Amino acid sequence: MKRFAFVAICSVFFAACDPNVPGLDTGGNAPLIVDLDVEDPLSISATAESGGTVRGPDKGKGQRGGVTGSFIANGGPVCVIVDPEGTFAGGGTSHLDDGDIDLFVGRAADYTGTPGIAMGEFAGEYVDPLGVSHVLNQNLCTQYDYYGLPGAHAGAAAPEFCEVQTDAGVPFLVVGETFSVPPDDGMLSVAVQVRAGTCPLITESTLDSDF
Amino acid sequence: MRTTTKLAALLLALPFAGCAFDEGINIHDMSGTVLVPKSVAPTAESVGMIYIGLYSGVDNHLGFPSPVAAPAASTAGADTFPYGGTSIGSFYTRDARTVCQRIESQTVRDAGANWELDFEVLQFPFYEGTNVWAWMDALVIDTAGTALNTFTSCDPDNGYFSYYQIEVEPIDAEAEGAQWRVSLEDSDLPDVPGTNSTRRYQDAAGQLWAVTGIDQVDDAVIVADIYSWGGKPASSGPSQPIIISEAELMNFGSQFQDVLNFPGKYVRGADGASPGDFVSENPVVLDNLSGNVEITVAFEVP
Repeated sequence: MKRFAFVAICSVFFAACDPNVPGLDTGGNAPLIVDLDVEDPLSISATAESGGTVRGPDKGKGQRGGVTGSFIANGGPVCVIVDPEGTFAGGGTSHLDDGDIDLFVGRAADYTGTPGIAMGEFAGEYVDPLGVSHVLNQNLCTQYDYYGLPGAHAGAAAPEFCEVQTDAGVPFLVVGETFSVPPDDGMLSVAVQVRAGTCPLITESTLDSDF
Repeated sequence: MRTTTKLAALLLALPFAGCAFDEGINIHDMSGTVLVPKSVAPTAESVGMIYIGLYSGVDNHLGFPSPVAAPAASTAGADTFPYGGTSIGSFYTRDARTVCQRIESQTVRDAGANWELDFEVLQFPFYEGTNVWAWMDALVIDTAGTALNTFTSCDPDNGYFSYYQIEVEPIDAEAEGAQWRVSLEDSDLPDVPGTNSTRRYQDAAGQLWAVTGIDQVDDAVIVADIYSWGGKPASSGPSQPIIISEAELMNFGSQFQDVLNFPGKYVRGADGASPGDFVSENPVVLDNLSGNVEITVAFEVP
């Protein structure tokens, strides 16, 4: 009897690790990484939206996922917006439809990942006059937190946006790295837009293809 | 017996043997002195907030001597990547009227033609050729002693967070009915936000009284004994008397966190027009870490 109880407890414990358990956010039927240049290319427009759907990364295995898309800058500021799927946009009634994606923007040349294959960072190396090496964070998308400090990201289902100064003719890359996916289907849809000029007031309704 | 004694001595020696072990970690401390000529700061009070940093070099890319910065290819660029640094003083104040206009915890020593201020930089990696560079965030003060601006390196939206408070200097406390009239020095008592129900008076002994009235004409506050202290408000004690308004929460300022990384943002201010700041024109180059470092801050930034 004791042995049966022991086996039962062990089974419950290991069942939690089964990747096929319905609702686990890594089990969605979508790619881990989407290259928008292939699936739905970005354009610099205040009306056009690009988008993709990804499954959640298995963080226990060190997986990283998300979407990337490039654009050639015209010079001057651009406003980059990502809006992850959320209950509000999808017309749902519970937060099982909320996902979260973190926005980064930089020069394509500074990106250490490979679109569609592996996620990376915008990074560079600076060697100072005494020969000491420093890592340069080349993410140009600065979002500020409640205290005004840079490096923040919005929470689940909330859009993220930033203004980036560009030089004409330089390729830039927009990266949305998956933080969490909706638990109802394990898949996250995200809308992405790059528009010329400074950012207007961004709300949940600014982009409407995030479901 | 002799063996036991030897064993005990050996066991006692073991912990101390560990102290001599060099782990080879490149972490060091240093101490030094900043010299501010009196031609730059006529009085000890006019010595501003001083920052000292250890950098890979100093150049003139900002139009005045300042630390070498990484290429400014991004908003994250132009970082000087200091190896270490510190400030002399803090912006701690509890007076709402002097946020970012007052320096605390700064010891200024009179040394003839200069003011001297000591500093220590702790726990930094040392590389031969490191430049010690310093700058002084100065305040423009008129002849009446009133600050005409705030310190550009002070963030008024951060730091100590509390109720609105002003410091006062009580002269006397006289009974006024069942209450007390606390006469103040000519303190130009400002309008204290809120209502009497949210105002408090903390006397020099740290006792809290209810404010029932403020007499702007005669510079006095009328206070009631809310906690049954059983005497009149204390005129002497361990703390500076203050008037508090619980109706308004505010920040009392602190240094921006990236002052050493981006000194160019603050030496001339965000608008590039902050006058009167001074930098060290000649950095001290460290070939070793022996002895006290002396650095002069005297070059006025154009």
